[in-house]
Amino acid sequence: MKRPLLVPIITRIKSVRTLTEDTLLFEVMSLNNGTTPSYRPGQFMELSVFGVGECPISITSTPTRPGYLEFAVREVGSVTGALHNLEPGDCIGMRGPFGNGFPVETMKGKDIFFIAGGIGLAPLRSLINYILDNRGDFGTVDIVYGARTPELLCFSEEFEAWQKAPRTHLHLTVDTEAPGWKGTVGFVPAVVKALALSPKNRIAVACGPPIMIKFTLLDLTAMGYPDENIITTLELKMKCGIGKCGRCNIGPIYVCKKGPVFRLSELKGLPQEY
Amino acid sequence: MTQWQCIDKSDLQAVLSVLQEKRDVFAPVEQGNDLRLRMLPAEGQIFLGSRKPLLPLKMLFLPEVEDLFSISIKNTSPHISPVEPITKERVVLGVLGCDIATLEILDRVFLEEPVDESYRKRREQTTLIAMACTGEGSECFCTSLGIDPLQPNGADAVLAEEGETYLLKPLTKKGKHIAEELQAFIKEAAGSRRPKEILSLKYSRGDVPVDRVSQEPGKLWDLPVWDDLSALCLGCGVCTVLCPTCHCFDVEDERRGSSGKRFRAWDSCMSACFTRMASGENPRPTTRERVRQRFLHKLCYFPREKGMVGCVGCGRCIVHCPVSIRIDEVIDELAGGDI
Repeated sequence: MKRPLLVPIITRIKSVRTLTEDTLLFEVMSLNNGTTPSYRPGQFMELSVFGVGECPISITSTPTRPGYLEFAVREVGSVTGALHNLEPGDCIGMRGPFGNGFPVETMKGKDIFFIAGGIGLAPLRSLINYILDNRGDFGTVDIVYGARTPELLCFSEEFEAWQKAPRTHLHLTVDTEAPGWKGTVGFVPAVVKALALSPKNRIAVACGPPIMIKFTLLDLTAMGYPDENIITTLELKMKCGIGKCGRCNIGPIYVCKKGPVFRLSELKGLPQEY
Repeated sequence: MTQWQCIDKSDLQAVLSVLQEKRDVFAPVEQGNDLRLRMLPAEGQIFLGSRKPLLPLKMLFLPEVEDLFSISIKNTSPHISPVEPITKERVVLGVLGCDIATLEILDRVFLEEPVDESYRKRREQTTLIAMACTGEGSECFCTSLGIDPLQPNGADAVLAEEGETYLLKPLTKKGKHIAEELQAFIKEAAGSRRPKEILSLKYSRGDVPVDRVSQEPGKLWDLPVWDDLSALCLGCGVCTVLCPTCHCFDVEDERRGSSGKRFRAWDSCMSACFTRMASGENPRPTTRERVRQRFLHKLCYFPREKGMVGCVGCGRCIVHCPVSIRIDEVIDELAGGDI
């Protein structure tokens, strides 16, 4: 029998690692037959804790490193709260992958400018590591990543690898001065502006809190980036993940199907309701 | 071309018994002041005529609450068992053209990839016998949506009332199959008589300008009508519950001890929590955005994306709205705004 659409597969948590005070990284084992579902950077899965519910979480691992899936989960609601109570060996439900993912093919040969704030790095990390694993296919990579404090920067143990990768530059920033912090201090959009990376043959990919996105998009436009070369992701309430339950509807589209990744040119064709 | 056939009204009970031998049979039944679609036998008198049941036909394809799977948890290992959506073939008798037309709208959501298997199985295993309708009241405007209530499309067979008999015309293979089973009750071929010749439309406003509503959300986004409507609307959501085309749903879990279930249930875009995220952010924070969503989804977004208007003109929302918001008047307004 065909698996009904809203019925998840059951999988086990392999490891749980603390990323920040409110965010855990879950490594989920491959499926029973040893495979991982094929996915693209930027797609998401519906994770469930049975008896509590389901929530959409972006996949932060990269398909170039098969055998496991990783999810960065910030504790904000009931399901993410229940996920935070789980331990390695515990079972969760998983449906997906859903959504469009990043337009990886059209990004080939281009310089890539990643702009992330807080847990917004999670979906971008998938693409960053995908690019680093296919390094020859892409141009220069710049990553601006900021958080309120140094402790709130996710994936800090990977920063060294990113800094050492060829033609890759990591620009870290925190909102205010902090003891022991030797890096840049300032909001993400200010750092983006100061860097003044040329829009020529460069695609900007931004993910972070709404206020950061709002200013970053304005700044990128002012810097001369065409709308087609500015990519961001939308976060909306979702339930089904397959364009039927109606929650993530914006105008004629469903974010879970047509998104969550959008070019600014596509967003401009949608009603301002996100 | 299949001819109209004829069944005596006095044979209705016997006809139902034959149908019930192999199937679950549903029909509109009078309960209190309401008409309800119920599985027979049910309390109350069966009503076959020009009257809509309170809850629309969608309830038989997308139940108000539908279990998706049961959960049992043993030694921290969960086991889930999907619930079979339908176990027996069904006949639905006496539904009107407006409700039947909704299925084509719902098909474009639930039969589109990825196909919703529960919905598909229910559609496949259901035979629809429509009732020719002359209109129920001033709320009706199905003819504006291209629906012919006297000879509804999309049904497997049509019934029409004529004096002491029902005229029956099978339209599909499923419908013919039913007619063959009922051979014993078919008294005579009704010849050339057509419901259109014996029945005439009493109600159905045919000039509601649905086709003139723009499919460009930007043109309708900031119209003053949204302010006017949100000043009136109580946000009760009765329009979405009774609407035959509204299909948004919620998915929730329930757990007691080591067992539980996941179910889906009707939900409403008129509720504030429909789009509120765990972070507290809400892209539709006030009644203004929610009213706009409800109307534009049906009249602008759905036509643009799926090629048909998401309304069948049944008028349930008009009859039951506590502050008398009329979708036909909203359509007039939106069409005017575009000229």
